[in-house]
Amino acid sequence: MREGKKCSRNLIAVMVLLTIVWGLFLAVSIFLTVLLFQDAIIEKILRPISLIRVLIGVGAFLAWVYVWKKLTEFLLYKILLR
Amino acid sequence: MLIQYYLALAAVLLSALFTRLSIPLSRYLSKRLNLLGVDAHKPDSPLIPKTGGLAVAVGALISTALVFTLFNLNPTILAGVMLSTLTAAAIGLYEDLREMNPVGKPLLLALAGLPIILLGIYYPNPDFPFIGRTRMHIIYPLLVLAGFSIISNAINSIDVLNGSMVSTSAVALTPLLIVSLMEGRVEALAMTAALMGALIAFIPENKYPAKLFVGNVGSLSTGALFTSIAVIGRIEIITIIALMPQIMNEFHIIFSMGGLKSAKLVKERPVNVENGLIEANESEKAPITLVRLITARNKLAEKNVVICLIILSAYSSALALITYLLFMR
Repeated sequence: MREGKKCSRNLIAVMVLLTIVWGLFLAVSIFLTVLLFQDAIIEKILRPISLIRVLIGVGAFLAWVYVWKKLTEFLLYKILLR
Repeated sequence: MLIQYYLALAAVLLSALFTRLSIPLSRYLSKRLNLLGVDAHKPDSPLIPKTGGLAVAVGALISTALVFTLFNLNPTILAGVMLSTLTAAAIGLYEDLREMNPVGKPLLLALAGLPIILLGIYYPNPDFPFIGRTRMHIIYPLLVLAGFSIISNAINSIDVLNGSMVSTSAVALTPLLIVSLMEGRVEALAMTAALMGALIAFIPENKYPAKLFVGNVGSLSTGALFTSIAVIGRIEIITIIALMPQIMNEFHIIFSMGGLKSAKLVKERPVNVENGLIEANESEKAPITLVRLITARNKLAEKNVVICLIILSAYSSALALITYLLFMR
């Protein structure tokens, strides 16, 4: 019974982590929508502007991965293994 | 719409049939070539044939080819998918024979995406939540190549316990199947159903206690098929969200090892095994993995860890479907 409770504790903790990471992904998408892609369907757009958009988009997703890494380390070392 | 159900059903049944028929051959080849792997989580560490994944690749590809022919689907897409998956399978088979350079392997896996690029069977307008359709004419081909490497390695990284890769991949295919069906993307639907049928047919051989391992040949070809489905079906974001546990596992291993390094160079193993029970290593030098998170201060039997991984995969798949239904339609 005690082992079962611990299993569900770890599982729920990882599910919460996945939910936060998913929420952050949606937040990054909203950020990109508001700031960068409002006219993303427009066919003709200046190439430098397009390039800057792609670079900011890639940067935002790298930041998302970095936050994901930090959150996982916090979960493992400060909560699950404490 | 009804024809799509028949197509999916045919793909599942044909792939399951051809996978089951190929299993004895892949077992024979493993034994003949002495390709045996140690089942490290069992008390007696038995040797298990490790190229069983060949049957998964063969079953999924034969079924895909038959369904594409029977339902008169785009032959260029079929050629691209076959070439990409066979390239990944060849890389996996080579890695099953001998260890590969940890930096060279991701680069080689990126090459598996080349047939898709060279045959021009991609749409550089991926859909994002809230944003909708975007234009990525220059960067998209590079993202496809990176995608082949990342997803194949991610699926490969979860293949650490009996049945873990096969069962979590089958679960992660569910949202791809549903979205392909709803969007009427028949080529992606055929490939998804074929891969799902092959994986489900392989579960009896690979579940605890495993009689046959999937091997790198199976996990890398499964990863290549996942990426092909994402690109051809234009369901890239759904695929990424459904595969979050696998991608998380891969990235954390790379981050905590300080780059792409051979597993043999790891000084501290992520988990310890005692009397058949798995428990996380508490050292901060050990790589962070999904299994380590699940077993932190929590001894679990191998099959219970796999059940936890399946639940996580199902949860991510649900998040992928929610994303599609609420923010991408």
